[in-house]
Amino acid sequence: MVADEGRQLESDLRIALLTGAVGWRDRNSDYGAAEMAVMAVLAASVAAVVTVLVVSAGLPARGAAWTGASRWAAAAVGSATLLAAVAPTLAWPWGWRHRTATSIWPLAVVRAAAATLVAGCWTVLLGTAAPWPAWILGSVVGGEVVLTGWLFGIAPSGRQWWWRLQRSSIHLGILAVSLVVLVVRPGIIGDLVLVLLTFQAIAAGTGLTCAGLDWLRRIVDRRTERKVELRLAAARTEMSEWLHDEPLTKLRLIALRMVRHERDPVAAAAELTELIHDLRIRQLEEAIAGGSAELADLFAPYLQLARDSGVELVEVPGYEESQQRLDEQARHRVHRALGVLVPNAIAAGAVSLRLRVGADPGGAVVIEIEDDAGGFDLAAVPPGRGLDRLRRELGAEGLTRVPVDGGSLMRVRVEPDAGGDAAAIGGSSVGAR
Amino acid sequence: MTRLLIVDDSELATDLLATSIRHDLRWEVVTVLRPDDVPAVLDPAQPFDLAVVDLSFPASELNGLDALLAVHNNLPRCRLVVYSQADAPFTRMLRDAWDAFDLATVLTKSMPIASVQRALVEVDTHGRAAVDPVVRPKLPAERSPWRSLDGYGRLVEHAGHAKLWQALIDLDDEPTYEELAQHTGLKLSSVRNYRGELLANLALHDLDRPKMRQMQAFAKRCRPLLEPHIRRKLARTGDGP
Repeated sequence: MVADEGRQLESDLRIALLTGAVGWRDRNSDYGAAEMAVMAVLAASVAAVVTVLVVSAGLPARGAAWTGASRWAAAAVGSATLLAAVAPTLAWPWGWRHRTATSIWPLAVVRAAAATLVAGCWTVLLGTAAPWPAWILGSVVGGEVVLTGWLFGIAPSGRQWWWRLQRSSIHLGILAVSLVVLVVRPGIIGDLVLVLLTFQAIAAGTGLTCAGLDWLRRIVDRRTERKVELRLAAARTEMSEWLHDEPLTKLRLIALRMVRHERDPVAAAAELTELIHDLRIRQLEEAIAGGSAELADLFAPYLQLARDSGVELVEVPGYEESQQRLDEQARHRVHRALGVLVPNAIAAGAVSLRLRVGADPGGAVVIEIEDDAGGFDLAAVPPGRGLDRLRRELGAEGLTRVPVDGGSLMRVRVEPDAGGDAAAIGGSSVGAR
Repeated sequence: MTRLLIVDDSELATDLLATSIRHDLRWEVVTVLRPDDVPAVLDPAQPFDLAVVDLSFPASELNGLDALLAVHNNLPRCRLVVYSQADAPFTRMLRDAWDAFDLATVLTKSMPIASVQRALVEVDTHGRAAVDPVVRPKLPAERSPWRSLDGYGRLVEHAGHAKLWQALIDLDDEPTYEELAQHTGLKLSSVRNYRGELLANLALHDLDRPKMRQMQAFAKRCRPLLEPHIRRKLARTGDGP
């Protein structure tokens, strides 16, 4: 049973490898560094094959079956077929992708037919002259099968790929036909040997290309892993230092003051609540960096802060308005704005808060924070204050104030795909206006 | 007397909240620390009126959805309340629970105990209570019928889909097509086609053309909601346990 399943999978893999990676990739998936290296090899190999076909079409062909214009036609057909066959693979990184999932079998048949046609044109033009240049055809095959193999999570060695080709039905078919021809026409044994050597050149080219690209991928993977490890180590060190400097130090201080009766339970609880808010903010920043925070998540710690501070939440954004998709920078900006404006309103004595979210006609996200903490002049905020820094970061259109009865309506406008430098706008700044 | 079940691994719920409810409301409160232990306390002869359930249980392979489903299946009249931190990592699971079950309310652990008590009394009296404003941006006003308990059946239309979901749940790391084919016994092309068939319905679960990694995260998170449909389809073909 297991052997049957293994054979089934092996058979499936042959079809899959014939189909090529484009038949299996998710439309929104992108190539990594190693895949881009395969692209370069594939493009160079295709260019080399086309060059050889065109140059050989122009060379004198003594004793060849095809001469004159028919050689140019074979070169044109071979080149065009090869370009059409590999075009979906080469076009992928540039965003030109099939719109819907294509069926596997038609793709496999088309590509098999294309491979046969290219090999036929090659044989017509060079087959009887020299077999060894055919290794560049193997390089094209190698590039395609490596891409597909990586997609499936398999990475056989160059020797294994070569052995796969030796056992392939194509090779066995060529051997069988050659034997029959040899029996019928023993005089063309030289040509038959050249055909077999041409196949061996293709097999060798495939094996060597696969081996080289796998070796390259291992190097790229090792470097990527090393970079990830270094980043993780830096993040862990930074987290450890933050835990030391912030929660642990503050908790220790609160505990010591309580033991020495310098803090009553109410004051200690207030300090702990402040610390809880800091931890929530930190957790949210980690979630934003990890890509798991939605716009709705950005409001939560500030709604909790307002409630913990005794402020009534008269209006909060609904689910439907909070479903706007923001990139990481835009999420940072909204987080930063909430981190300044909500604590400012609380510090200014707000009794109630209204938070709204919407979109302007241009598609920008608009956040409104309305309080009843009295009025102020946004333009007169002293330099260096959190609000002043936020105004400079978001720009004149990004942060505006509308006076309302007994308070202010602060309006923040953020482009959903803000882009830009995370470090420049990261972090939160709490303080009075 | 109102009977309340609390399923939570935090002392905030099992000690502080439970004690205050016993003392202030005079309710009978049963606490369970892990979703694994929920079925053992569900006796139709002594039903609970309310169940307060957390979503995150890092010490268990089961999650809050398992606990909610167990209570829902065994005590259909029990009112379900989610009591959670409701922070970013669990927003999606909270939304899954909100859409799949007729939750009476959602309360967060940042609420004062007195407010939690008031909300629970409201649920006991009127069947439901307003959700905590802190989580209101995370919960749709209208529940999606596609994401109801039955709605998950649309994601498991035949045994092939069932095998694919089971493999995504069982395998640890993001699986390749080859690993999925090996695990399910399906052809590579079948795995690809079944996955392609599911993509349209996954859009109803807020997954826009998900990558395999995202599809697997969904499968693992929503495992309790998918499993009944998976078992049903596999049982029909004799592939089930």
